[in-house]
Amino acid sequence: MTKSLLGAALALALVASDASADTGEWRISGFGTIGLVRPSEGDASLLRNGINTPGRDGVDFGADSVIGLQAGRNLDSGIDVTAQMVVREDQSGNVEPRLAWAFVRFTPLADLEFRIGRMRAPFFMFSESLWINYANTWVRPPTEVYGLNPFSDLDGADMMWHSRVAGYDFELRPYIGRSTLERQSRRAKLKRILGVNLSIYRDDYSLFIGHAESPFSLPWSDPLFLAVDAALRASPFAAVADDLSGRDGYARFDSVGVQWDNGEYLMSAEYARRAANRYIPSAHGWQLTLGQRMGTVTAYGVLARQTEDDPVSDADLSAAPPLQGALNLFNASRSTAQKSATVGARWDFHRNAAVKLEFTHAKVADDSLGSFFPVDGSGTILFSGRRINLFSASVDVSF
Amino acid sequence: MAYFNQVLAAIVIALAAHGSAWAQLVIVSGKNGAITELSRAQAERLFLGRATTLADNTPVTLIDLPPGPDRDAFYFTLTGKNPVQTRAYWSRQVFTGRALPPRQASSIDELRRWLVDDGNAIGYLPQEHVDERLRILLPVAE
Repeated sequence: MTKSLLGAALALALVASDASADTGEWRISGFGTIGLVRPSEGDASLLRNGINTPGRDGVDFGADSVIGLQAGRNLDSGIDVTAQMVVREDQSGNVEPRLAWAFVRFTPLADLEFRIGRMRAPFFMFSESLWINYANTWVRPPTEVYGLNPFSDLDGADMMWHSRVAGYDFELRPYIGRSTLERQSRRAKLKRILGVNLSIYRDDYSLFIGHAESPFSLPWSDPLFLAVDAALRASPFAAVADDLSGRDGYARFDSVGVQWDNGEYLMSAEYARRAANRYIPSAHGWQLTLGQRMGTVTAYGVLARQTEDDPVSDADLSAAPPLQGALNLFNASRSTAQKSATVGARWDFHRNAAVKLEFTHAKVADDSLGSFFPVDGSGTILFSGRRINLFSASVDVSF
Repeated sequence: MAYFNQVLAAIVIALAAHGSAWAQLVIVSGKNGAITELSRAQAERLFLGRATTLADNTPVTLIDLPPGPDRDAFYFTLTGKNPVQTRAYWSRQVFTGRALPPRQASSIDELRRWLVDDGNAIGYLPQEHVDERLRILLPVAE
């Protein structure tokens, strides 16, 4: 049902895409993707942290498929409004429309904007366009970097200050807000986000630097967590359980990225880091993408890696080996460390549509799930050290 | 690779034969509108969605020609981006809330009408289609 609905909407979008979408002063736009991904291993499905529900059969249509509709208009005296509805699978397996953007912008000076409302959390270089697959070269942004922060909404306010100095365009953007992530039974929250981004553009180059931090809550509720938590609380090491799940975490996110695109060749590279004091591991990731356009076809390759810096808890439970074993299993089940190499091609076969094919070879790190989830839903099968291939195909439209 | 170069060469020749891709393009506004001058740097920022107003904070509405060689030549000449780059770039600008998408006129006639009706609008067209209702703000030369 969901697949046919998305298919019909995308077909309609393609047909309508050359027509003017203006209705009075409202500017209506949309985007969409039908994507499928198939892992080579029967017991693994692709997990996009914070985005999808891992598939239960061989071919997963939910990981990348999305449709979005946006309306915006100028009001008087430097005020404009934008709202965007998105339909895609969420972490609970539901496919329901949700508000991805809804903000009012006030532009008091030519180079100064204030926005208030719901925006996309701009933690990393491509975070805001994470679902706008048509705007991206790949089928999806590399999970090694973009899985480091699963929160996508920013409910709050930001300020954008633009400046042009000696041919360089600068954009300085402080922001504040909070974010909620619906998980299967409980909500994770970034409770008070403070962040600032600096972007610099010149000709074919751009540079992105971002930092954000926030107190957070992350109430795990999966069977593995419940068992380990219960065992710890019944032992002399009850205090360790407080570091596994709860409401008193603090996390910092950093990112540095560059892009270069001269029309024929393109390059993007990004390093991102998540530092958390508890509940989730601290980790960093990077990606390097190189591509070449030949007319309407873009061939590209990607190298990416995520490395764990600190586990959820490094408590020493060697006095109680079974507990140490349980804690190690819990730590490993929260790690998404892996490395991967990807080759792919994008063909802009229509003015508003592109088809992409991608092949990824991933090697999951030791004591890690990588970007995969067991199809049996247990969450206790680790893919540590395994090599898994992914085949992805998508059609993206923008209209 | 050689094949793609041949295809590219064929496209260039086809564009040249079409004629209008080589015509001088100009950025224009309505003669009685609020926008009376425009620098190349301002034009570039506006048509890249990096600015939505002029330096004096006058809001600007962008008007695009329908898809075709004139539109592609305009963006390539002003911003250096080819059509594939331009569309991917603008979809990011629009769907990340940076800029409202340009209004798309269905013909040169409609574009001229919109420019006359909206004093804050700017658009572009081949110079030979400029009439007495319009003001030329900036030639966009190759």
